[in-house]
Amino acid sequence: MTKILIVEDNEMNRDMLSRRLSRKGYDIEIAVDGAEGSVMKRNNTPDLVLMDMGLPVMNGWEATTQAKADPSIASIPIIALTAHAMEEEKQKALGAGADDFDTKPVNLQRLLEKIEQNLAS
Amino acid sequence: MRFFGQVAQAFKNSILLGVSWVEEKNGIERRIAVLNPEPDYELFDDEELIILTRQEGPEISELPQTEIEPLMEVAPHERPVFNRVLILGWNASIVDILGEFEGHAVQDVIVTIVSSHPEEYVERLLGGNIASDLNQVRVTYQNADTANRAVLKNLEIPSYVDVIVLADESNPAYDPDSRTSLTLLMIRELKEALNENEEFPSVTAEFYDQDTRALCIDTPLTDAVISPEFVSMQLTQLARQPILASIYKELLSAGGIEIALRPVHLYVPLEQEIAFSDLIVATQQANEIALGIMMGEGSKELTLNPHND
Repeated sequence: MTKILIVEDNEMNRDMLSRRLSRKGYDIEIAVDGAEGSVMKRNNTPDLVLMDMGLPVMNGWEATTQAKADPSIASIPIIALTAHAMEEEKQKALGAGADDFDTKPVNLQRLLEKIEQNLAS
Repeated sequence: MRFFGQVAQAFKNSILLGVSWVEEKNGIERRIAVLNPEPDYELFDDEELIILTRQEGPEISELPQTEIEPLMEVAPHERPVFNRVLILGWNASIVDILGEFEGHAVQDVIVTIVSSHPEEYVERLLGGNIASDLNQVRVTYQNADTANRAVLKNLEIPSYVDVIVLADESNPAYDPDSRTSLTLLMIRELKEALNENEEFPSVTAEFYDQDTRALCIDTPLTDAVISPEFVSMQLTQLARQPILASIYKELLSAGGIEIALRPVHLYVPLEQEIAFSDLIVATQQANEIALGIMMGEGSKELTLNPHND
C-alpha cells in the first residue's frame, strides 16, 4: 500500500485529509510539525510527503530543504500545501525543493492527480 | 453518494457545520470532529453531522440533485489590523493572550502592558521561554496605576488600535471589577476630550461580574467578556457534549477555522433578491459556511441561522 506522510499542524485539517486519502486506499502517517516530519521521513520512509508550509517548531520550507539535502530521503516526492494559490507561495515552495505544490482547501481530485503523477515519476 | 455541500443545502432551518466520526487506531478509539470540510466531501453512514440548529430540531428538504460546484480560488481576505495594543491590568491570562496575539499576527505587533506589578516581576515571568516563542509580538511593560488619570493620559490611548482592560489582579488591595469600571470611566473622559472626528481605539474589557459590566454601559466599551460566565457556560456544554471541546478550541484559537464578518456582495450580486439558501451555495464555493447575517452598516443586529428562504 502506498504510504503518505501528512505533515500538518492543524488537527482538523489533518483528520480530514487523512480520512479522505485513507478512503482512496493510501496508508497515512501523520506528523504535526516540520521537525517530527523530518524524523518520520527518515524512520518510516514514506512514498510521498504532503507538507503544510506554515508549521511550528520547524516550518515546511525548512523541513523540505533539509529533506532534499539528505541523500537517504531526497528522492521522496514532497507536495507543498499552502493556504493560498499565490504565485510567490508556489515559487517559494518549489525553491525550497518541493516537487509540486497545491493549495488548501484541498481540491481532492486535483490533489490525487498530483499524488499519482509524483509517485509515477 | 451524498456530499457535504449537498446535505448542507437541504437544511431549511439549520446550518451544517461539520462532521464527526469515531476512529480506532492501535486499539484506542478517538472521536473526531471536523468543521467546514470541502463541499465535495462524501458522507458515509458511520458519520454524524455537526449542526447549528434551533431547539425544535432541523427541518430538512430533499437533497438537491445539482452537482457540487468546484471550489473557486479566493484571494485571502483582509484581516483587521492590530499592530499597537494596550493592555491595562494583569492576571494569569496574560501569557495566553500574548500567545494568541502571536498566532493571529500578520505583521509586527507592539503590545504595551501597564499594571501594578514591579518591572522585575514581569521581566522574570515574560522572559525566557515565553519571550522566545514570540516572533511578531514585541512587549513593553510599564509599572503604573491603571486607574490614574495622569497615567492614562500619558499613555496616549488614541494612538493604539486596540485597548484591552483586563480584570486586574496585580494589586490585591483592589477589587478587579471596580478597577476595570474606574479605568473605563477615565477612558471615557479622555475620549470626550477629543474632537468628534478623531479616531479612538476599540476597547474590550474583562469582568468577573455581569452586574459590573452593566454599570459600564455608558463608557467607550466596544465589547466585554464576563470570564467566569464564559467558562461556566463552556463547562456545562462540554459536560453534556465533550466533542464540543475540539470545536471551541478550533474556533477560538489562532489559525485554522475562524468566524469572520464579510460583506454579502463578495458572494452574491446585490441587484437581485436573494435568499439565505443562495448565500449558503455561494459561500460553499469559497469553502466557507454562512452562519448568519448582520443587517446594515455598523449595525449590531445579528441573526444567526436564519431560515434558508
